[in-house]
Amino acid sequence: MPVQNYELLNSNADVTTTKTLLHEAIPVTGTIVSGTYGTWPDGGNIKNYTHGMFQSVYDYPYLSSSANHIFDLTMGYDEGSALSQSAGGVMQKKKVNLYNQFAQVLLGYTGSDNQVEIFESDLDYGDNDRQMKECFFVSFSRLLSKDQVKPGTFSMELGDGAWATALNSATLKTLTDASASITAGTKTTPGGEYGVLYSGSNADSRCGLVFYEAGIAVLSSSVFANAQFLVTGAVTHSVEEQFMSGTITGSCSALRHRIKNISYNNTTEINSTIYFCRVPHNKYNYSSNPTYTTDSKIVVKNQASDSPVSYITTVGLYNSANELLAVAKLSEPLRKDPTNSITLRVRLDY
Amino acid sequence: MSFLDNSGDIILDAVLTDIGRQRLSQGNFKIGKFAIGDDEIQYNLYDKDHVSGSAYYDLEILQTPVLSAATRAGEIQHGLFSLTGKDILYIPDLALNEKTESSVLRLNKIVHLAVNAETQDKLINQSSVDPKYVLLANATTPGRTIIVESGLNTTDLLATATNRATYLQATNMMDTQYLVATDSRFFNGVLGTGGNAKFTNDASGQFMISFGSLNVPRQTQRSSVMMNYVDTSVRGTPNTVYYYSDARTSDTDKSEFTGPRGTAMAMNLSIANTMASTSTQSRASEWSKFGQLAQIAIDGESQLYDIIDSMVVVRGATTGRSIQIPVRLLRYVSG
Repeated sequence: MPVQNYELLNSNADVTTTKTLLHEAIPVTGTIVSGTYGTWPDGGNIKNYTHGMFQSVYDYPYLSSSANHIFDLTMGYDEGSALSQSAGGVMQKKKVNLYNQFAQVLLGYTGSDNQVEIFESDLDYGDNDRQMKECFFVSFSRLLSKDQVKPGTFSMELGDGAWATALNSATLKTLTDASASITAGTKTTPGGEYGVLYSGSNADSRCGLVFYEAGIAVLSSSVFANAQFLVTGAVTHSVEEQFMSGTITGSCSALRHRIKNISYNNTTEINSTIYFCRVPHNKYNYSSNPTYTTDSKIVVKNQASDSPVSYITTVGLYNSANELLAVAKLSEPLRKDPTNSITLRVRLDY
Repeated sequence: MSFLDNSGDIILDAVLTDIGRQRLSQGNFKIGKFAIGDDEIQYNLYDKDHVSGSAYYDLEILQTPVLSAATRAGEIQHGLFSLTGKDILYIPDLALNEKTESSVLRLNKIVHLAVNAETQDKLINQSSVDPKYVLLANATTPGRTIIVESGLNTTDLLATATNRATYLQATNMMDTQYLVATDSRFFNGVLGTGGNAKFTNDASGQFMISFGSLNVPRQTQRSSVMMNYVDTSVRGTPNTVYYYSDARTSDTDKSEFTGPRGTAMAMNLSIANTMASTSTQSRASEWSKFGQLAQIAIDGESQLYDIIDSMVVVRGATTGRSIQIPVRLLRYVSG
């Protein structure tokens, strides 16, 4: 029998695949959003664009290579909203376009006349009940949300106090998707699964949606009831007034002023292939390592009848053309001799 | 490349290699077999005379820190292999033969390879290098070739036909094929042992050593030895140089081994025509990219040569045993 350096893997018995969901807790502290790196509304970590259609938030001044993009903010309203009919509106068309863009991607179209669906703060988005026609959109970066936000873990603390004391604890609202879980409380749309955000325990406290796969939170403007949503100089704006007469960037900055904390668990889906490399008792007991012999004599033996011994540090995985496709290293040498058989479990993650 | 944390449970650190990622991107990533390596192990640390007993023999080996996996390096240089017998005490080595009239010898431990006849002529006739130190690339019948033998380098066993049969043939450790790994940036592969090759002697001590006209390079395949290396397969011929008690000349006069011998092979190195350009022709870019230009290659001589230093690795296809042969490519420039 010839010397065998390769051991074949049986695709049925020696190879298996698994899927693992990995979760990380993602806390976003509100102060990063609203003033750590500058005085509101400016900040080195806030990136505004000349087109003025959204605002990007980073975890560090964005000109630094250390900065990571964490989310984008924007807002919009449906063309059926009362605000879109108001005279004197600022960037009205863009606000409508943004609303429609999110709605068509996340909800799709009505089947009858291909109209874009309207966000509703319930799990039945086709019944025209509890419609949210004026919304903020918080789009989390893939760096944070990874493959998806884990249902039932999303939480967002918003301040609804007067402008100067926006984050007063008495007026804090905590929006959660507590009724959602991996197995229930969600609805599937063209944009993926979503759950409903509640600011309290009763059904009337529904005030937004969170799209898990897309990593997007949709907040109804009605979550902010305080008349002092934004104060600029001596002028006070309610959220409706700001939606109509303010810029998109201005509305996003006002929202940032009212974010205390955001947290959720993300999900990374890891698909693995596990190779069971079985080293039987009668194989791989000798080495071609140059130190294995001195003057052609095996150094781990005194006489021929001694058991051969070798030590495993590396497993190489090859294709049929003998190309080394993957390498696995053991953290310490493993003794191999004819009295033992070893199964090395090599996992490759994708 | 760092060490792996070995303070807790045994873990496996697995990575895809460059070629693995390439195959993945091409949609033909299919693992079908595995091999086992032990490159970090120094078996000479195995202390089989430890005063505290056998539990302590491999204490130092088991404490060897293991390097983390790398994606580019040839990860299993040598590797473990299987033999059916458990009572094997000897494993053959490979050796560069520098004893026959057909052998090219190393000069300052390096094989000097003239890339063209002009360079060979200048080395021998102007730089006063003995012809036995110069190998002419691409020649199928060079005066001398690189000869590699396999056998047992031990004085415990006489190199008799019986011992050859017992310790090599019966244990399936005859390297009838060799894999020669060469750097594909300079070499096209190797010209190997031809037909009617002989490496033998008779009872009187008469040697019959010839390797015929060398075969042109066979198809090469990617080598696991090093980046950019390709393997060429070269046939081994039976090495039946035996010990005869009444021989006029000793068997070790022409063989590097004192114990039983397995096979032998001869080879020359094949290089691309562009690399073999003469001093009046344009120089291939590899010379400036990977070597040194217009250098004094032979101490005390004034001729200038382009130089590239490389390494050729010869492995026994059956035993996996290997030797590394340093090779200096020389191209005459002036002087």
